[in-house]
Formats: sequence, structure tokens, C-alpha cells
Amino acid sequence: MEKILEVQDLRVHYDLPQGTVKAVDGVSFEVYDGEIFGIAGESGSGKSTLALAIPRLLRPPAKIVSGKILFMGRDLLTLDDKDLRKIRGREISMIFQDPNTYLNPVYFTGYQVAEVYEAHRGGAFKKYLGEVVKLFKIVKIADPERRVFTYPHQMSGGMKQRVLISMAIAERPRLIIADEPTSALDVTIQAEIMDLLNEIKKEIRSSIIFITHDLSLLLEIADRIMIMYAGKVVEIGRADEIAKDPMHPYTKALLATLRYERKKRLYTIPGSLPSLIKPPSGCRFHPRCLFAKDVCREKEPQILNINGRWVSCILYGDEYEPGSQS
Amino acid sequence: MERMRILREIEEAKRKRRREIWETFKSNKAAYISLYIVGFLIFIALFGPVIAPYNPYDFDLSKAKMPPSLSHPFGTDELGRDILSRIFVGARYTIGISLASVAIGAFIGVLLGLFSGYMRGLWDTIIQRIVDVMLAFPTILLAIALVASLGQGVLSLIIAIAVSTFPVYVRLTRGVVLQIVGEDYIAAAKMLGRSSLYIMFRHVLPNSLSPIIVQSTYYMGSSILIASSLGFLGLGVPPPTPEWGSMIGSGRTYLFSSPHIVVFPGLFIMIAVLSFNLIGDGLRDALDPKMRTYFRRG
Repeated sequence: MEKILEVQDLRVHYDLPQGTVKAVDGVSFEVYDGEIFGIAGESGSGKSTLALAIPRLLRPPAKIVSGKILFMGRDLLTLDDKDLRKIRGREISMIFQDPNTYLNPVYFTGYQVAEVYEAHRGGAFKKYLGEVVKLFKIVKIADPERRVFTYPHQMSGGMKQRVLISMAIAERPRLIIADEPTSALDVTIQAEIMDLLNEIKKEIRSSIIFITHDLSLLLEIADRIMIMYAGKVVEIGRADEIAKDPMHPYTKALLATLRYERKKRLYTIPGSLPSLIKPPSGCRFHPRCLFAKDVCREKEPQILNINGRWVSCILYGDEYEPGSQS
Repeated sequence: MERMRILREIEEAKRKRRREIWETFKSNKAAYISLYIVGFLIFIALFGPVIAPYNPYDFDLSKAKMPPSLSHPFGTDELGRDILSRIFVGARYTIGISLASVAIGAFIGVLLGLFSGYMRGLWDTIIQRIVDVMLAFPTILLAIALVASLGQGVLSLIIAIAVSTFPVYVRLTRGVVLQIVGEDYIAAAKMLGRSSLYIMFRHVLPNSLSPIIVQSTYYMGSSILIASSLGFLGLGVPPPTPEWGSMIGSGRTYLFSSPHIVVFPGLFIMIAVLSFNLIGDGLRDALDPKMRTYFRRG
């Protein structure tokens, strides 16, 4: 399978007066053609920062310190503004977290979708309104001809998310980054949006990076999953394998929280996410880890390749050869 | 067919929004009346010389300082010129100067503010420090200095007032822009592959326009005051041109013996300033839905 995106040792820091927050700290992964690549992690694990870093949308105080983001072989971090603009919206698009704030309140929603075409093909946006109606039909907006001429405030959250999705798929990009696209919506609407994404996925055949804090959702839809903890990659593997046989203690704990048994309390991981200004020494998860040993406090674990899965935990370090960090 | 129907619907939706704004504006009675007053003032500014009963430059010392009467409704000044006619003809100077200076000042100020707030960084710092220095001067003092160096005349007055008021627009626009730039839909527009210039004018500017329009209306009032103050100080349009401020300036020696010489131009200045300010209030209520909920009027 063809590699669409390859992120190599990416580091993103926030320079705050209190200190430097290492939000994304040496993250590497690959996304292949046509797959849904899930990224899961707690709030503050760096997943949204990562999502914004890929199309270089981060604003100060966030800064990409080092690393490479290779998209179809080109390093996005070295492109100039003009080339970057050609990629944004046409080859990489994004579905944002909160549909209520990502639409400009002064324009009709249809105009804003038409803007995607206008930006890349030129000409007046009115020319593209027919296309927009088609898109609205694809994302199942009822009465699409009329909805082209409604303002964002006249729409429900679910409908606005559909509009944002239609913007993201307008140019049939190679890669769609969906940053918690359902977190701001009701559970019932969530299900509808997920169904829609699945359907669209089949039709437009883009790769999707799906970011969420809802691991159970990812297990259902993703082909491969990356688990993040405190700005670092903990485990990467096929979704079914991770569900069946989680390797990293953090992944194990996460899956344990999902298990529901009658008359039993839900499992919770003790403690909370550490400060990213002064992260714990050694393995970042060791203060909360049930398997922690003395070495965990001192030595940062290498990320290891074990039969096609990536795990960063010393539990596996002795039995297997350390893999290279490509 | 489809296209025609769509375009018709766009027009309809726009009309509806305009009607909403107009209805809100109309519900504010003071602003609504002020609109008519300003309309009247603009009418006399345009047609002053035609509707003036006398030639405003003809002096007749035998009729000097006559109090208001039927033949001279506002009386005559120290040289026997009809005050009503002078006010009618003078309107075009006072209002025209203010209008032009506000337009120029707002244009420059909004452009700089937009640029400054969107780009941030070094240019922002440079522009803001210049604005700091200009704001440190009292407006009228700055205007006096500018007129003194540019020489008297309508054009230099306009430039002087525009230059001394534009920093306020820079500040105002920058403040609004900073807020808008942080909005998520700007990030979304960037993600569509839009250029900075396009985002500035198509996404940031329309969202920051309401407070700018409101502020410009308020500034019409203060520009009239600055223009008249300069006229009063003898730095305005040179005599015998009947500018309202200079009419007060030349009549002030007779304030106690013949107050009507000063009172009537003063009254017109007051009415003009007040009307513009009240319109500003009404516009704020109509254009800014957030403010509307807090300051709803009966």
C-alpha cells in the first residue's frame, strides 16, 4: 500500500511564561492510502496539536521545533505559503471539532462551501453553487437547495457538522484529518455523523486520520490505531489486534475502562495526566502504571517494532530486538 | 432556471436581513428622528445657495446686528449679513469637511488596523507605536498644528482632521480584528487554502465592520466639532466663507449685546453633532446583535 503521510520525530512546543510545554514530543507514524488511521488519547495528550501541526495551522505560542511531515513525498514543513495553500483544502482537508465555531457567521453556509472551489479553481463562487447542492445531497442535508442560503446560526449543530464535512470532501482530498468531529454533538447525532463518514469514506476513498478520546469508537471504525500519552506515542497497531491483545500497560488500562460488568464499578486509571512542562522522568506513564519497575523511573523506553506493531514499553524490551525509529 | 431561482433567493434573504436592521433602527425613535434631521442638514448642504433667501456675502451696515424678525428669521450679523442664509450656505463646508475627513480617516485607519491586527509581529509594533504617539496628542492640538503647517483652506482642513482622527480607527479595528483572527472559522478558511489577503478582506473585515460603522458615525459628530473649533479659532476656512465655527468666532464679541449671532450657528452645530451621535446609538443597536440584548430600548 502506498504511504500518503509519514510523520517523523515531530516535536511541537508551546512557549509559555511558565515554561515550555512539550505537547508533541517525538511522534512518528505513517498513514497509508485509503485507511482510517485512528489517534486516541486523553485530553492534553497532544492529539489535537498534532492534528493542527500536519497542515501547519498552529498559531503562536505553539511552534514546530523539529521533525518531518512527508505528504506524498513532500515535506510540508519546508513548503512556502503558496505551495502550502495549494495543498490545504485540495489535498489535505480537515473536519473540525466544534461545528458551531468553524463557520463564518456573516456568510451563507453554501457560499462558504463554494469557497473551497473558488480557492482552487478560480472564478466567482456563484458558479459553484450547483456543485454545493450536490455536496449537500451527499452529506444528506435535507432540502439542499434551500440550505445553501441559510446562515450558520439558523442550523443545528449536526447540520453544521454536515456542512463542514461537505467542505472537507469537496475537492476529494487524499487525506482528511478529522479532529474529534463528533465530540461537540449529542450521542444520537454522533451516530448519524459516524454513519455518514463511513459512507462517504467508501465513495471518495480518501485516507482519514480520525482523532478522538473515545477509544471504543475507534475500535469500531479505524483500520489502525495510535495511542498517545503525554505527547508521546505509546502503541500503534491494527485495531482488531489492539482490541484483542493490547500490549502497552496504558492501552490495557484504557481498554479496561471500557469493560462494563453489572454491579461492578467501572475501572478508572488512577492519577491524572502529568504536567507537560515537567514530565515524569523515564517512562511518562510510570507513576500510573500497574506494571512499573524501578527502571521505568530512570530509562525512557524505546519504541519497538514487534511483529508489525509499535510499542514503547520496557516490558517488551528484553524479549525482542529494538526496532529502528523510522 | 435553477440558477435564476437560486439568485432570486439570495436577493430575498439579503432583503430580509436589511429589513431586520431597518426595523430595529426604526424602533429607536431618537435615532429615527435624527436620521431625518441629518437628511435635512445634507439637503441644505447640497442646495444651500439655492434655498438661501439672501446672498450670504452681501453686507449692509445699516442692517447690522438686527435681532430675529420676519424678514430675517435668524437676524443679521455684525456686518448686516442674513444669518439664516449664512447657515444654509455654511452647511456644505461644515458637513462636507466632516464627512470627507471621516471617510479618509476611517479608510486609512481601518486598513492599517486590519493589517496590524492580522499580521502581528514587527509591522504591528511599528504601526502601534506610531499610533501611541499620535494618540498622546490632544486631537484638536494636532489638528491646529497640521492646519498651521498646511495652510488654510478646505483641503488642508480635511487632511488635518483625517490625520488627527485616524489613529482611533487603527486602535478600534485592530482590537476587533485580534478577536476575529482567533476565531475558528479563520483557521477553517486557511485550511481551505485561502491567502492571507483574501482572508483579511473577505472573512475578517466583514465581521469587524459593525463597530467600525458605529464608531464612524460617532466620529462624524466630533469631526464637526473639530472643524467648527478650528473655524472658531480662525484656522478654518478663511472669511468671508460662512463656516459655522467661524461664524461663532467672529460673532463672539457681541455675545452679550446680540446673542443671536452666536446662538443660531451654535444651535446648528449642536443639533448636527447630537443627531450623528443618536444615529450612532441606533446603528449600534441595529448592527450589533450582542449589544442589542443588553441595551434594548422601548
